[in-house]
Amino acid sequence: MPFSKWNTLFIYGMNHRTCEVRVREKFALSEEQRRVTRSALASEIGLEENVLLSTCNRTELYGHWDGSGAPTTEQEVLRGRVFPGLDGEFHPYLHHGWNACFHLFRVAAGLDSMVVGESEILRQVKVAFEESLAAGSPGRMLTDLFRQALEVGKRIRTETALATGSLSVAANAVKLALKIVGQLDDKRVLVVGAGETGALVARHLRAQKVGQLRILNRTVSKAEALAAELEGEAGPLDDLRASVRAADVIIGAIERPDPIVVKEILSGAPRKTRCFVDISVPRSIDPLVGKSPGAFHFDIDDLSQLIEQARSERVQEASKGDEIIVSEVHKFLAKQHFVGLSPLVQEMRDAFDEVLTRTLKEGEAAQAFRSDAQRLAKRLLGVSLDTLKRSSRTHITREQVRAAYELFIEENP
Amino acid sequence: MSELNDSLRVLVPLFYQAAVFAYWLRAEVSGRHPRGIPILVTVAALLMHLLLLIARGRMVEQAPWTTYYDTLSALAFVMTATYMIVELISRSPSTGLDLLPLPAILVTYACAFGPAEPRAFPVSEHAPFVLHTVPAIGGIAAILVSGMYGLLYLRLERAMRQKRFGRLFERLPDLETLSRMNYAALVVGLVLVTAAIGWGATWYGDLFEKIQLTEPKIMFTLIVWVILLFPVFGKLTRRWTDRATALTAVVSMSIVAISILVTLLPFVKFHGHR
Repeated sequence: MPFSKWNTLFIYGMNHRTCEVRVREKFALSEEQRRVTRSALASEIGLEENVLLSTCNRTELYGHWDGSGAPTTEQEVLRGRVFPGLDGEFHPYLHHGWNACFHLFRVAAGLDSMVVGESEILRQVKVAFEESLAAGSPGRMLTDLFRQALEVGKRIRTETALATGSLSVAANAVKLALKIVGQLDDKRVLVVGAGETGALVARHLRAQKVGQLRILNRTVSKAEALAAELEGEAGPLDDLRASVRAADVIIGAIERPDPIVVKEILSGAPRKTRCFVDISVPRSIDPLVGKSPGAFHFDIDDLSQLIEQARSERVQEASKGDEIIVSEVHKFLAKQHFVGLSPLVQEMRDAFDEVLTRTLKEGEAAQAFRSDAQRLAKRLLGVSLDTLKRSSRTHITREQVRAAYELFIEENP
Repeated sequence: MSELNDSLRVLVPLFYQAAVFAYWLRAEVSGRHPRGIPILVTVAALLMHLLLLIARGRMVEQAPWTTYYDTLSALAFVMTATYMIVELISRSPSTGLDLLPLPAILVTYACAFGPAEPRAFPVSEHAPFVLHTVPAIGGIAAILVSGMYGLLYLRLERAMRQKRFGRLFERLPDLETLSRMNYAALVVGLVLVTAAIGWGATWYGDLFEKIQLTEPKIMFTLIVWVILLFPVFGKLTRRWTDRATALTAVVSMSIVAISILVTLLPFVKFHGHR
């Protein structure tokens, strides 16, 4: 069987697709828990080579059974160690060999994430690998696998448009404002509401180097705290009329039963382009403000449209990502196959050296001829190894290579 | 010179079309196409076009816009050069796909249907000819560019009001930038057209006994000039919205286009290159 050793690589885990959050949250492991689990796996079942990845959406064990140590009842053994007390109705997935490799590459690229293309997972994969590396537990195959997975994650983000277009409401609210009023560095922006959503938008706005940021809230102290953090100004809702009339961008992020920003506020105000983005439900900005000269109005439905668009673009890009992953899996597979041949390669090297030494001794050659012969032997061996490397990309087995080599040795005693 | 003229009359339209194609590719491949290629092709087209203008000018020892077709060709050159400057100095997304087709059509039409050899134009021998025609061609090009930006502004604004966030939304610069480009080109157009009218009025009197204000070209130019004053004063008094400026630019562009077409009419004498 080709890649028989390689099949000892596996991934065992659960993610947002296979388990509900009430189950996942039980097995979201802290750094300390991950360390304890990893060492228990090594000491109790002999799984020396392992990496444990645990995020809010997945808990996965990547392992490599060295030699013939793989237990026949792998699933049960792992289930008890990684997911103790897991209800019988939930079945973690177990992939071997290239399937495991494919899975990790998809995870690192963000293709297996709940929000396709998100970049945080790449950092989490890196952290999981580094933790294992620090504990000395990944082994050669897992080290190669994770290093390549990190490369694949970066490559897919560079070569596809997977990471373009944001899926967050706050980021898309800012995107809309930018499309209307352009650069924000000379603009006045008003955020109505200092709650969680308001704070998120305000932070996105600050990242865009907004000229003047004003935050209004029912509880002024809350607005002041946020304004202090973001170098903005704070005020009570009583300032709404004057603040709206002065602003270029108005973001509504406040919980109220009725709209607080109404068209009448703008009557008699100087004519200029104003962008109103309402991200609160129920709506805090009356859609009729969009009828005022130079005013644009968007609400949460419009933002959903943008988010959905970004999501479908990412799904399209995901297929390109999968193509890259297939080629990377092949690359990894060929590399591992070649690595598997290293004892044979060493044997070939030794045989070449022995023949050379014997021949030169018999002929008692001059020093100049001796070094030429050594160079020639090295080059011939190099050609053989190149051929071997190329053949490792195809389905040639170790046994076939050995048979060919032995034939060669027998015919050339 | 004649051989160079013949070769360039074939090559220049081809390069303009290649530039439009390169911008189309960039827009379709959404930024992953190398950014430099469309710019390089456009600059190459401009350099060849400049050579063509020089060659045709040398052939008649006059300014190279003595025929109707040569005027269109010069207009295309100025429009493209203006666009290229905007593209190089602004950091906003490219609008080449929207702006370059018009000059490409003009230059292709001029090279395909215009006379192979340039013709000498008696009026061009008068010294103020260049003083009048250079700002006139520059002004018309600026008004056309302003109109194109105005059109883009109106298209994007409409898309946003209808909550359509498709390709146009992703591809075009923001409304503020489009409005700034629209207004800047409009002001340049107004200044140059004013200069052209001023020189034209002075020079006209030297050649003709009576100024014919009813000549369609003069009439349309004066109408455009008056129209262009509105957004400028409107902006100064802050009573004019970006949308109104864009609309004015589109209307001005349409009138200018008509004024170019009417010079083909048989009764247009002075501006008819006859």
